[in-house]
Amino acid sequence: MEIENIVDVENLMLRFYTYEGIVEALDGVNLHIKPNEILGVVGETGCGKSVTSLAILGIVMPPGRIENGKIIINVNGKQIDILKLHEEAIRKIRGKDISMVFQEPRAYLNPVYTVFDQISEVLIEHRKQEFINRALQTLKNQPKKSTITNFYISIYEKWSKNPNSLLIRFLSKIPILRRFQNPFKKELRKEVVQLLKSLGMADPERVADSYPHELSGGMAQRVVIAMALACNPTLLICDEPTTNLDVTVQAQILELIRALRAKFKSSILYITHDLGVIAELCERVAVMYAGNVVELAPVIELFKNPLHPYTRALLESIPRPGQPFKSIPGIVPSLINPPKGCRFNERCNYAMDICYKIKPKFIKVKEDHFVACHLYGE
Amino acid sequence: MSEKILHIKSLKKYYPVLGGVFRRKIAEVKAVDNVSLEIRRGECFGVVGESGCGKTTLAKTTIRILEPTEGRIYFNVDEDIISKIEKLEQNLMSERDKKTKSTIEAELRKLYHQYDVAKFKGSKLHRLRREMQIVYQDPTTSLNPRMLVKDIVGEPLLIHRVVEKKKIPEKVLQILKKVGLGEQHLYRYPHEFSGGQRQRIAIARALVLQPKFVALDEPTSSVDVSVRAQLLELFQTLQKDMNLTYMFITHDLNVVECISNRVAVMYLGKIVELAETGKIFSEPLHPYTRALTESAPIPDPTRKKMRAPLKGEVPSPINPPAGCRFHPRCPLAIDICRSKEPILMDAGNNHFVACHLMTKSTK
Amino acid sequence: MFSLRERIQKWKKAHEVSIKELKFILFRIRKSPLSLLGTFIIAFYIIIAILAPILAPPQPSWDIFKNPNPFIIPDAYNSVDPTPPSPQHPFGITVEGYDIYYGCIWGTITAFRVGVMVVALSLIIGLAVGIIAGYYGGLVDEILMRFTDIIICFPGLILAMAFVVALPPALTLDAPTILIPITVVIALITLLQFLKRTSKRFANISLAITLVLAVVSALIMFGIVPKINVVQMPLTRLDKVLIALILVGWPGYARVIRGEVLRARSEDYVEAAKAIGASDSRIIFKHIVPNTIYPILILASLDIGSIVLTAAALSFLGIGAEPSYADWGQLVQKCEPYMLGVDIVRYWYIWLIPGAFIFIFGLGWNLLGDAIRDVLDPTLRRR
Repeated sequence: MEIENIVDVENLMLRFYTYEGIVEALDGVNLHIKPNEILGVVGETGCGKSVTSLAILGIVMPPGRIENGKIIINVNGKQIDILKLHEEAIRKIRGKDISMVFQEPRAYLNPVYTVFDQISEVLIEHRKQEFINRALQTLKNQPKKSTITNFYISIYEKWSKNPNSLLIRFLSKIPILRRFQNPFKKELRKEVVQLLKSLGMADPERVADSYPHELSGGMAQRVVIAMALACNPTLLICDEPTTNLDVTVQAQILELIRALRAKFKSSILYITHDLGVIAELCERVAVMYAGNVVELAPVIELFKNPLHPYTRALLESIPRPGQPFKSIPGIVPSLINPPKGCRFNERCNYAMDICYKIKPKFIKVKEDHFVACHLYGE
Repeated sequence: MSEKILHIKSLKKYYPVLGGVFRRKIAEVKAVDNVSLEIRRGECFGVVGESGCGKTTLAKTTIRILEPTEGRIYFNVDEDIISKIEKLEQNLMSERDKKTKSTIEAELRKLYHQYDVAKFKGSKLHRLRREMQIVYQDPTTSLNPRMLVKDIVGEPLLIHRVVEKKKIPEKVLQILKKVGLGEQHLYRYPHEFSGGQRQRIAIARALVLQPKFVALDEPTSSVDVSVRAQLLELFQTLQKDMNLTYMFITHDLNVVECISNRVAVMYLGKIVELAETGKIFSEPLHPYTRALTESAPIPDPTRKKMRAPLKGEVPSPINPPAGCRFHPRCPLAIDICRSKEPILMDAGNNHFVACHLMTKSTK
Repeated sequence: MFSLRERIQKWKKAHEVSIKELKFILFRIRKSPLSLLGTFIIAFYIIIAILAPILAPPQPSWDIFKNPNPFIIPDAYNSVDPTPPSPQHPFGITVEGYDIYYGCIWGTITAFRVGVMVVALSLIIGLAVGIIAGYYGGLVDEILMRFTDIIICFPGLILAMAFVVALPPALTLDAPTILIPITVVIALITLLQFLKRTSKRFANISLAITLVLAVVSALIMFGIVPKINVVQMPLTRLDKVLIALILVGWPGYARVIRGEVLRARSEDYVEAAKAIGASDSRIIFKHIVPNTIYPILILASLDIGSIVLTAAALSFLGIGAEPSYADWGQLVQKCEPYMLGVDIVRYWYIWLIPGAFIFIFGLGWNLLGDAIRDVLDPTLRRR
């Protein structure tokens, strides 16, 4: 039986309509992510890796516009095309089935809310029913029930039947009466502390009550990862989460991601430009250049047997002690008027005539090894 | 000409932390704490460490962009003068007689005024700029976005009046060609270039005065991987061509392994290990260096590491741990590490370490 | 050596960044209808100002010897009662027989004159103070900023009123009056030098100059050396208004530019300029100023609207332009006796028409200002 891919990106085309011109940011991106695997996306600045992840999440802001393509995600057995959903539907998926960790953790945490507030925001958004039920259970399990407890139980039963009831929402705004939320908040806090603990925090209670500016870079990144994993997503997208961190902290976070993948059984899309991290962490790798995926293969295969000239050049340009430095001549082409044919043609050592005219198709060359290059194929 | 071009002795750079109602100094950030090192002529001296270790501060203080709190810096000074100064300092310490003390002090002051870069002011400092230069990490912010390339690179020549005004465009073109740019780039603005090219412009600006010493502050950190190799090759070529000495600061161990002759590892303002590059990577002695070399990911999937990463995080430099600064995170810490600070000592073959275990230093 | 065309090309190339920014601003302005409205309003006023001699020719028949100044509204209609608009006098006549139409047209020129001069001069002073305070920091910053704060503390209009009333009828610049400010300035510069620990030579020279000037001023003040009248300049009432508004206006700019200079000072390229040995003045003029003042220049030019409004307020209160001067606020002031009562409706043309001119002028500048402020906002600058 063929395993269904968690995410299938087919021929995604994205353009930015700016004052300076039309930027062809993505020009037919093809990707697929299998369940419970770590897929690395590697590429240089401007190759489109961040934009692809934003497209998967459905948060492409104007002046960007998706022109073409399909992004099919496999959630709960159903196959949904993200590009065809409208905002309400996508919002239910974001944070719950697909979540994202960004590069600069402190820029993505709201500075005026504590860590607890922010993580519970995610929990409330997607798992409210569950916590209401848990609170109800705890209340019912109390041996001695005072009048208040009984009163709470009746409120919670009403709430459990209708989590979005207007009455409850109204009550939660009134200063003294809103204390009825305390059992609910206790459950939330238990869950948050548990989550922070599983992320290796030494003092989860204290961290839960701190503000983002009181945390160091590594801890803040862990908090963001906690927020992302709070609802047990099927897919976790990490956009260069360790680039700004020290190398020892990076090692900790990579170890953490590996452990969490085993525990939560999610797939991870890991975006980076560091080939070392790719080699350490990822199982399959997609190489992107100037808005295209040029090669997609398992990591060992990619490092041992790179097919696309860009991948080869990239691997050769890694500085090695005692050997002369090899670099890729030329610069990344401007995406406002991209070159015709294969976008790597100017810098490629193996460029043929056809490379300047026709864009190479993304085809399967070997088992699980895809390339977009005229050297391979018909 | 002496073999060593730069001597740094007991350099300290502390930032005061002001607080309280009257904004008094309540604490100090010890960014660079008692660092001494010597750099040989023509070598590439690497300085590695993580954020907050003080490596950038070290470079900027050496070049006198920042003023040192304490310490002496001797640039291009003869060894005998330096030994003379050191002898006088020793005499000063042991001397009892007040009168002789003041004569020694007066002579020391004169010598400091003449040779100690840390005390240079006015026109001496101005002339120093010609000899010591710096290349910054981010070329986007280190180039004035409203100046043409020819003005950016020509400005140092204009300021120091090394050549007459008419000859400046010629010299600018010369140095641009050396870094791999051309005449067509003269009349353009920095934002029209890619990251790698911008860094080249910054390098051209630093080298146009033909300095002897260049501090490179993470010059390859904000450029792409494929451009990094280009820049590293350029650095090597320029070093041979123009007889430069580099202080190469980075957090990327891979880069420092490839380009530097000797490496110093810094942690929280102190040097914990200093040795030849090959030695540091083949047999790191200090536990921190070991942790660094083991944490760095290797671009080879067949060599996946399954080691326990270093615990904890870098503490704040305002309140460094007592004794050895690394002891809270060190897997090999013993009692003495918590109370006494280790000194940087030679553990054999010019391999310096600051660790009680390695140098077997007793109280 | 270079032909005119080549010269223009070189200039264009050298200022490419600024030109591009300007083009972008114009592009964004075109997109918003309100800002287009603002632009048209301003253009309309400029046209009126240029065509003033044609639209409202100064009457030569009377007052030609007494008042060759076209800004004095002709007053030969000795009717005491205000007359509503008629074909001969399109906007009507005020109490003492002044032609409102004439006053409004020539008032446009006055408005621009007041606005541009006040903004320009307060900008110069504010920029100088703000840049020095921002760049040098420390004690200099504290002194200059506290001085600025003192002026900002006062409500602008009230302080302007106080200045207008307090200014002498003629500005006599005699020896002490010039020497004392110059001494103070040079003393501040000396203080700066000592604090900056630059080379001793310059500091000593400044100190010497300060001492000499101080001694000379003291001698003059105590009458030992005779006072020399250097300049005697009579101040018209409008001049006093200008000076008062400048004195009240410069602190705002000083504050703003100081903030920008503080931000620019911490940029890498400024530090890089220090690393190559650039002097302070070079860094300020070549690196910091070009990167900070363009937005401020544009925003300051939009203050012209509010300056004119303030000047009109002063005129209405009676301490602005002379009674017969062509100034909008002045014309409204003519209605002052009728303000309370039913006559205000009867003599509507006296306050409504000049008032409309003031209102629309301010509106135009404000619309344009909002649009440009939006464009220059870095968070919205997603090109």
